[in-house]
Amino acid sequence: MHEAAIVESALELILAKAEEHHLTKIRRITAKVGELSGALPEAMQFVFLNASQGTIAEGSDFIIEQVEATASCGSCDITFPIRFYHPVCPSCGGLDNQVLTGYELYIDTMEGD
Amino acid sequence: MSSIKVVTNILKVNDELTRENKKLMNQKGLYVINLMSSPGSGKTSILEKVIARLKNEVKIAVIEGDLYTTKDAERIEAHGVQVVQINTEGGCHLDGQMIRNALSHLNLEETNLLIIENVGNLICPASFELGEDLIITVLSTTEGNDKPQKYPRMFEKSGIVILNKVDLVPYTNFNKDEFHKDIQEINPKANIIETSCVTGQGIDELCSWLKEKISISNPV
Repeated sequence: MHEAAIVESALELILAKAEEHHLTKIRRITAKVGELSGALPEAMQFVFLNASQGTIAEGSDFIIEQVEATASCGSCDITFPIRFYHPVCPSCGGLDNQVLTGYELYIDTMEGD
Repeated sequence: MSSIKVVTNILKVNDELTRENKKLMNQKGLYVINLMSSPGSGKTSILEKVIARLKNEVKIAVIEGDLYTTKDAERIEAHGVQVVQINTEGGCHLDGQMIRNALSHLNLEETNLLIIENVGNLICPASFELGEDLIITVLSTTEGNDKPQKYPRMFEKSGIVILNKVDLVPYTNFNKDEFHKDIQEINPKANIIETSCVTGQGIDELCSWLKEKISISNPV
């Protein structure tokens, strides 16, 4: 259940940012979570519900946008989705490809008053 | 209502602590290994073999991560090397703060090789960098060869994948060909070393590999 540690870090970040911008209530938070990040959105939602209680983020919409995992093949000059962690080029079958997206784990935006 | 663009890495706090830890590790010339696996794969047994083989040539310190007990730390301590126990009290992984605390209890002037034995868990530890130079993931043959496909992240990040308990292969349905093929797909750069703590197979190979790495990071 490492999502607990991840969400606690996220909340720390959110509350510090809110203070910086003099917010007294947070209404909406969006996070980008890549398919390869190792964090489960459902578990993150569950932890957030509990961890945010008693803070100015309590009751806010915690929206997790999943980011598809993709890679590019230098030889074939194509971008393709990755199945699990296997960055196999569907055209040439090569393995040595550049992973472009999928490891995201960040707070993107927040809204509040 | 204000809308704020944040775009900040969620693991920022861990990353910052880890960066500080890494700076200290570099200053002291440490080569740092993060040793991970599921429970019971043989991490501590492999560590005991490596320590016994290398302790007269390399100054070794160990950080032992465990949920509650000091059993593993006691086993390591019996080999006469420095060891610090971290009890996570239910936590499924080690993080930067825990490593920072542990480092303050070690004599780093007297250390070339720091081995961090992470909590036995194939999932969570892979998400938290600890400032290591090398990740070693151990899989044992009794766990089944499907584990790299099922828990790819840890294997994907590893410099070495150890296949332990190879002496038990005849008694299991472990398919070594599939295992090698899966690792090749998930992480083509990983070095695979087959070991057995019962027969001693692979321990020399592992120790030679480590010695070479340590000498590169600590040139005489």
